[in-house]
Amino acid sequence: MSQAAPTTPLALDPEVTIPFAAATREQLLEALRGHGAQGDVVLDLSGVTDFDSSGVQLLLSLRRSLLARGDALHLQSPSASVRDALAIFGLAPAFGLATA
Amino acid sequence: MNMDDDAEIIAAARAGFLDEAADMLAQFEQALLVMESDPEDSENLNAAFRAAHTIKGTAGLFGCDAVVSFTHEVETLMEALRSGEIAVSEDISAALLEGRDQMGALIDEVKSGHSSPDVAERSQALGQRLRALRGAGDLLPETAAAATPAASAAVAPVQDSDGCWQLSLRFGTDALRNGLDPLAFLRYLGTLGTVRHCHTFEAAVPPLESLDAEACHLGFELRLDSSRSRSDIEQVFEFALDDCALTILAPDAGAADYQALLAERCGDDTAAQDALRAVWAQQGVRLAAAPDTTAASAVTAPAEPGAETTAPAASEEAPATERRQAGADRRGSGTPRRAEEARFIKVRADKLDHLIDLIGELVIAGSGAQMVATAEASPAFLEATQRVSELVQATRDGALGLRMVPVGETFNRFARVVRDISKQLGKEIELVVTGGDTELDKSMVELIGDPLMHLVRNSLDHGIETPEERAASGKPRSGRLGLNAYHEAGSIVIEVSDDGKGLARNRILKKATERGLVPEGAVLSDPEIWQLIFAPGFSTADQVTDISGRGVGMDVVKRNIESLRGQISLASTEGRGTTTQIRLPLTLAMIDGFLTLVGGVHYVLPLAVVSECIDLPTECREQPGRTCGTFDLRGEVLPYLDLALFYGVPPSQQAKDGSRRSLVVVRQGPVRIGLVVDRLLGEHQTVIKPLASIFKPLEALAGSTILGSGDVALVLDMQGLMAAATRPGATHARAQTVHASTSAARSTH
Repeated sequence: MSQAAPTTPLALDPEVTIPFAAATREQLLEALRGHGAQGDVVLDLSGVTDFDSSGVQLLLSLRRSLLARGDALHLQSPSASVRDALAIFGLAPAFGLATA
Repeated sequence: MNMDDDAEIIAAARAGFLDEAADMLAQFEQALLVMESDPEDSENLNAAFRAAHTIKGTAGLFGCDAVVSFTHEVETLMEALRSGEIAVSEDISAALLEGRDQMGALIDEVKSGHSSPDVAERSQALGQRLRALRGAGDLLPETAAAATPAASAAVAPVQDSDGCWQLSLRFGTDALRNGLDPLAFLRYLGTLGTVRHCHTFEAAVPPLESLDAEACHLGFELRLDSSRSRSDIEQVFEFALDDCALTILAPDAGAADYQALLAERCGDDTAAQDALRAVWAQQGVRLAAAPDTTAASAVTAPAEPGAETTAPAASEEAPATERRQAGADRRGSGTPRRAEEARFIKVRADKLDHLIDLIGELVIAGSGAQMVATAEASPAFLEATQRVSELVQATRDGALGLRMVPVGETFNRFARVVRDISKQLGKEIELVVTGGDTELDKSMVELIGDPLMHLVRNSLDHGIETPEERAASGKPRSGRLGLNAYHEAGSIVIEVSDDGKGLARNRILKKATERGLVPEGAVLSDPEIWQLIFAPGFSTADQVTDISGRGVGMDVVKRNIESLRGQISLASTEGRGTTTQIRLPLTLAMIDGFLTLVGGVHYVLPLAVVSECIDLPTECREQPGRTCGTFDLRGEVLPYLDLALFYGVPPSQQAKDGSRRSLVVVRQGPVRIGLVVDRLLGEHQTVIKPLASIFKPLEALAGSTILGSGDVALVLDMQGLMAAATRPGATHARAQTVHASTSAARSTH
């Protein structure tokens, strides 16, 4: 259960794809370790235009780390490409998204 | 990059595609013919499938939809054959061969840019026929029905299924790095039907701290509701197989199949097994609770992806293993083929021609250097130029060799023609190819195709009799059509032979007399009668068929061969068969020559035809004014030709008393003649340059060449010389004697 103040959403870049996977991971690690390595992480996915398997994998990986310390991952305003990808992988319910 | 560059690149790539497609079609046809005689050869079925598959794939790259959609039907049928789902039958072979022809027609349309509605209609009709054959030839339902009663005793019964395919996917660590996006595959899979459930194994993805963002940890279990075939579904993942373990279970897969998949995915890890079973249960797969242990041990699931598991009972072990083996073959046979392809390089023909031109210049320049060395009388220099000359010769041979292709490639194309025509005529004919390794110049290969085709069709149509006729005359029912090739003295000899009824000597003579080709009552030798067949419009066929008999063939064939500086001759025995022999020079560009001097002019003979050189014989010395005559060579009488008189050049001074002149005996096949020359100047590497057209009327010249000294030499054409020496022409004195002596000469061989 989260104790910290509501976290500011981390906005991801438009391209969350394999060429940018390593860099995106760095971004997410920062968010993970922020606020004294505590609290939920909120990702603003409204600006994401390209989202591939590497992106989905990053979300799953981040979620796993958060769940391990008792926190949660929130996806804010996921763009169409994000929704689409998660739906295809059958992960919409896992991330609290309505299944279309 | 501007539009022109793009267009250029695409045009070049397209040319490559059309080339490759032609190769693949030839390979496909070969494989189909082999399939007819040996339907069990699984490696051959794979080869046939691969050829069709490659054409479809590359055509797809260029957006050739008509080719793709038709070839798909062919490919699907081939897939069913190679996986053992259906068996080869005569209908299937015939349909596939027609399919290959249709693919050829469609590709031709791509090449020409024009499409015709007839071709499109044929694609439709033939496509339907192929689809029908795909469904009609099922082996599996029968064997499955027989096996199920036995199977149900050993294995837990199949629960009523929801009609969905189970897809189990485990992507490899390097999938993302290798450019594969599992998302794209799954998205595409969705176009084949509806994905009812997709489970992604979250637990397989490491926590962010230890994650390699570029590694792939994704695995999926899917339930797909689709009416498409297994091969269609497999094809979705075709390019992923290197980086993904894929297993597809059919809607009617039994518990044993799932058990096998469980073992494959989880090994002995019972926790993982439970987890996977839970996923399946959640997706609607209904299995018996406890797996049957005997079934589990009876089935050994292979580790490699793409292998299909069927409902195995102990009795079905063998066919199931075979099918898995076909899968293994499919993957394994890819590698040796790649190694085979690496042995060849594609080279543009004009680059090769340029190289050969350069080597020609090198030969001449080398000659020049040798002449200087001789003039300088320097032994060291001479030795050096000799060495250069040897190397140039070797380079020349190597370069000319690059243009040589085995004639067997052309011969093998006739397998299809022989098959089709013999079926059409109701005859049994076997094609026997020998000497396929014999090489000839690539440009000639293309040009002899048509003449050979004509000869083959003649044999098939008029030569070889029907099985009944053959049995009646004590011959084996099956006729033999032979294609043979070998090298002989600087030429390549190609023979088309059959063991059919041979040529009717008297009929031919009669027809020729009727047409006024020979005077009434003339007595001709057999070879002379066979030569009559080459007269324009000559045909003794009673019925003109659409294959041959119109009489427009043989003279055209002869002209084609002669335009290649070749010769054609026939030999036949009535009732036993006919053999047609074509003789072609190995190359028209460079030859090992023999240099002579005649009346101050240099003439070159091909070294290969030179049999021997002797001092001027007495017969020639006795009659110095004769252009041609005969002489005695160790008991044989041979005709001779005085080149100086023949070409109208005054013989050199020495010739007046005949003491220094020589005679060169040249040989073409069985015929030998003598050529009287002033001086013998020895071997000379000769680059033949063609003569300008104004020199065409000159007889017996094959071209010209430049000597090291810069002088021009004329290259003699053997055929022309032979004809001149043996011709009963008015310009030669004592014509009758020449003719008679020629016949005498021939009959002694």
